[in-house]
Amino acid sequence: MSRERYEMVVGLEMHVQLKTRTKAFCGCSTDFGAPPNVNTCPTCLALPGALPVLNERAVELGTRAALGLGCTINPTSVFARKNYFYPDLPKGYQISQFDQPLASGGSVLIGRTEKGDDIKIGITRLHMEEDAGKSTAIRAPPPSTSIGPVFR
Amino acid sequence: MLGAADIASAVRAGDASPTEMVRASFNRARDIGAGHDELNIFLHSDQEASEHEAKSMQERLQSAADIGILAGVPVAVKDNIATLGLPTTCGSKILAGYVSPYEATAITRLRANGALVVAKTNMDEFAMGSSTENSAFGPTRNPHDVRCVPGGSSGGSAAAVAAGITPIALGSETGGSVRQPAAFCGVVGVKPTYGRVSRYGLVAFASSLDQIGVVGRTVDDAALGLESIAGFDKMDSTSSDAEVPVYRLSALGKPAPEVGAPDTEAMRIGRSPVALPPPPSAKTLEGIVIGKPREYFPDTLDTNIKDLCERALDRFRSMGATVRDISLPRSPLAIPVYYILAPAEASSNLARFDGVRYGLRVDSGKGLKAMYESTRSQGFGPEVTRRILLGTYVLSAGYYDAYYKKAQAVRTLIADDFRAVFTSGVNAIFTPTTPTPAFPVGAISDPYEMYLNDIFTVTANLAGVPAISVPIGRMRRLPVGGQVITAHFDEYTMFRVAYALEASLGQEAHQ
Repeated sequence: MSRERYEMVVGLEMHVQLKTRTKAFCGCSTDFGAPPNVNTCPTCLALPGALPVLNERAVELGTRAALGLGCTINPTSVFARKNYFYPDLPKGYQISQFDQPLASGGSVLIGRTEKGDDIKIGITRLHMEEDAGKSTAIRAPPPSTSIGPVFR
Repeated sequence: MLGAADIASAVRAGDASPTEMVRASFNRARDIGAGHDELNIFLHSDQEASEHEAKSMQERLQSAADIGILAGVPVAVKDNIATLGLPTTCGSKILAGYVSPYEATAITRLRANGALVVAKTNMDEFAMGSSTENSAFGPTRNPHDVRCVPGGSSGGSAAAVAAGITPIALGSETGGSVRQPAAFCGVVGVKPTYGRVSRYGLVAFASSLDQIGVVGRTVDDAALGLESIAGFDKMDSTSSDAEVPVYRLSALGKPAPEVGAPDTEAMRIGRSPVALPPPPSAKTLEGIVIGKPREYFPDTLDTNIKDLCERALDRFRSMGATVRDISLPRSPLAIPVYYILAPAEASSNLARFDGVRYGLRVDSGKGLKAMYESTRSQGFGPEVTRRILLGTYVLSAGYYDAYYKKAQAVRTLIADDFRAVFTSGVNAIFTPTTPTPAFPVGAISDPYEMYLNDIFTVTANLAGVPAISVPIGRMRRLPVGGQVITAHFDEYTMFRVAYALEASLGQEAHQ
């Protein structure tokens, strides 16, 4: 089998942090440099019972990016859970998009060939997801487990 | 025991103090043996803290502040709803001792309406069960017969109300966990429309099915409880902004307010108000069509339960309602569908209990993965483990389409059945709440047999419609419940039919 039978195809996955004042699914500040556990809340700490609320501004910025790239904005877009255990993942799943992303299609023009043809990089999809800024757990003494049923 | 409305009006009028109400609850709990070695109704309570809270309410009352429709009413809360002050353990070893640093929206609203949260109630671990035997802290006993289970998973809440400790308790539903224990304990249990009550602070089991519900001694207690916690919450994107009508008895007969948002045909049903004069008359339910679905009255249904349901249907007729035979043909598929969807969602929702940030941590120093594994293996009980395994399996690559996706499609068909019935002129559906009354502790060991307890209740969760269980009599001295189901956001008609049935049966509902 000769080497010529293969063609190199490169796919790129670009992660871009949206410039929002608050996090993707809660109202906490995205400012860097604050002391630990300041820009946190029940939702981003994944406390029992807390629920995510989508950042409207993130959708606006995502949509603007999609328009700029000539994507088709999908009228219905769905968030999905990507389940795995990892220290940077307090909920045990990442909120991402899977079968119904924010936008599909589109392209980026990166220049012209010597003949003057456009060199376009096609875009398969543009979706939104959350990513932990930083999550560090120090080995603290185990929390109290002394309380059983107490009726007093 | 006084009803919630009576307590609130006495407290607001200055005829009773919040402190007296709190003491009455704790005294009753002690007298009846609610403690761990007896009925085992509560997981956490603190009389001193509750009395302190009551005292500060007393001071606010004296400054002429309006305390709200639940002024001074003691309320017990299921242990999977986040409360400040008392722990929130979900009946699980993995959360033993965990105190939430924030509070559920439903609790904030209860307090804003003057309620006093006096205790957290025992439950099946993470709300997975139908008997409260799956609690890591021992089973709750049925106050009507201590040999029997109170039902579940909100067994502690139903038992607290049945024992006369509080007139109202909050529970939660995923497949019947408020209505089934309410039926077993001879009290009223409401599962509102999905989206009617904020789930913020309710520890998630199966997010597309979960809803906070209310247990009440009477229909009015349950209505007051629901009215005080219902409505839109920006912290729960699935909560509805539809206006919340006044459900309580004193408001019945007044025009139901226009319900905003989702403009389904079904929602307009039941708008025409008819007064409910006590005692009920031949016109109380005039114009109301009650559907009797054949799938919920199979030939195998216990004859005692069937007879009690027939008596209830006769009462509806005598109050002017029309009873119509109907069919919800896809209902028999509900249990298999539920036991794919609910464990699937649970396996994801329970991933956060990993021993890192809160609760139990079992760490033998063999690394992170080993810590995750030993924490979760030792922290979760057998039923929770079973459902996490089942859920992980049905969501795994290659099986998703065959199980989860197909179950979702069938769920839509089950919901379509309800929609078809409610758009064909039926205002409310009546069924037995459960196929049997309370069974003895330890009597059911086969998980599938246990799952069948929810056979008549689980469809309302899958369809998202509201439903209420009310006592309709007894068999072998044990309570039996009847269920009224209405269209999405039509709790008004649901309560109206339930009030009429309650008034018509009177003491017969408890004999």
